[in-house]
Amino acid sequence: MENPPAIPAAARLDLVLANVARELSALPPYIGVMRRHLQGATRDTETGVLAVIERIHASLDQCEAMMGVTRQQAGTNQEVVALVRAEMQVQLEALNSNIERTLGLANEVRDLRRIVETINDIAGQTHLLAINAAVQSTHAGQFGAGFAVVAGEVKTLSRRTSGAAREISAKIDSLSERMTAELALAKKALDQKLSGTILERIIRDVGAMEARFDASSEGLLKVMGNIRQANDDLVTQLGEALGYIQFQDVVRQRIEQVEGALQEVGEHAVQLAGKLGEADWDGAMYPGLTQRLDRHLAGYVMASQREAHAEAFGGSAQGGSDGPAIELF
Amino acid sequence: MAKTILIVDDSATMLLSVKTTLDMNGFLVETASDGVQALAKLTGGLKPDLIITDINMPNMGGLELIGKVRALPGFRFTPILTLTTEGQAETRAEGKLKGATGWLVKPIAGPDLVKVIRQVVPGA
Repeated sequence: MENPPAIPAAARLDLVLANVARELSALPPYIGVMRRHLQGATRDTETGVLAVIERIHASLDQCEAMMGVTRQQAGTNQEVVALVRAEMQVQLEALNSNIERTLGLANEVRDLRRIVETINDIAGQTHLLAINAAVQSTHAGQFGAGFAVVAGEVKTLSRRTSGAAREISAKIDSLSERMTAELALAKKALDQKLSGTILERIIRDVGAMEARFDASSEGLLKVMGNIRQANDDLVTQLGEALGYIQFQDVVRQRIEQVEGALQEVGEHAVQLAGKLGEADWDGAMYPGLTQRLDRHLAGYVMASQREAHAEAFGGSAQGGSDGPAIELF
Repeated sequence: MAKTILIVDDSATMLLSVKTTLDMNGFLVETASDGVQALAKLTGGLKPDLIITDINMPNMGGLELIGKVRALPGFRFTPILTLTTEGQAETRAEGKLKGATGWLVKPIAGPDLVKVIRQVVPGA
């Protein structure tokens, strides 16, 4: 069996160069796929982080809404009790006012008795006057006969007036006593109602309800205070958590830098593949990969990027770490 | 009265996390995803009590935005904080020269951010 003919060295070199060039040309699509994976990973973390933040936001809104409802409920309870109590007070004041007015009326009726007494006094004086007139008419003899008749009529009138006055006075007394008695009964009935009836029970129940609401409102206020405190703690903790979540943006920027670098490597490979076909190419690349890598140093924005770069070469980052995380000018 | 803060960042994560932090602490928040959008809001009538901006953004970066904001009438004394991954002294110095009030490096915890805001915004 014959050996295949040996490939001339020049032809072999051409073949190698052509294969190397083909391999180098395949690098950009390869890198393109990797870049897409990195971009997908960045998107995924961003979507996840955004979902977490949205969930945090929703929880806080829910917490705030619950506190609002609790506050409103406490306020409504107190308003209802205050309304019932105010209405009861109005009713009681109206009842007492009615009694007071009727009592005033009874006193005014009793005052009429003094007028009747005055009339009675006048009647008594008129009676005395009539007696004197009768005596004087007797002294006048025949000439006083007519005058004696008038004196007799005046006497009769004063007697009747006195009788009527006594009768009116008695009726006023009776009426006044009856009104006083009725008022006393009404007041007693009211007091009894207030002390042992439905009205009293309502007032007592309202009072108890108020006390319970006061107690529960106090409890609610305590709960709300605790919720407020817990909420403040939650806000602080979530604020810290949201700070940690910002790592996603830091990671994204680092990945984007790596993506750019990968693309650069691809472009470099394509250039290299092109050069392989050039007869007068001396094998040098401008810029070379080392120079390209050095250029990255100037483009880093984070100390962590510079540190990673230096560590890859077994050194440490020049220029030290970044300044303080918080600086006010 | 609640203070209004404009946040400028091209990262949706940053915008939402900072917005949520500030919402929780009773601030009113406006957002913009780059310097151009932020400037449009400011020239359109928005008058925030504070601007928090990223530095590296597409269309218009934070340093350019700070310079343009300082040139706008009525914004000479508005506090502007940067919130960025950049921490190098040269960039900070440039920010200071452009008119930044302070420099914050990402990530920053919510309580720390709120504390700084209360330092630079009167009555916040």
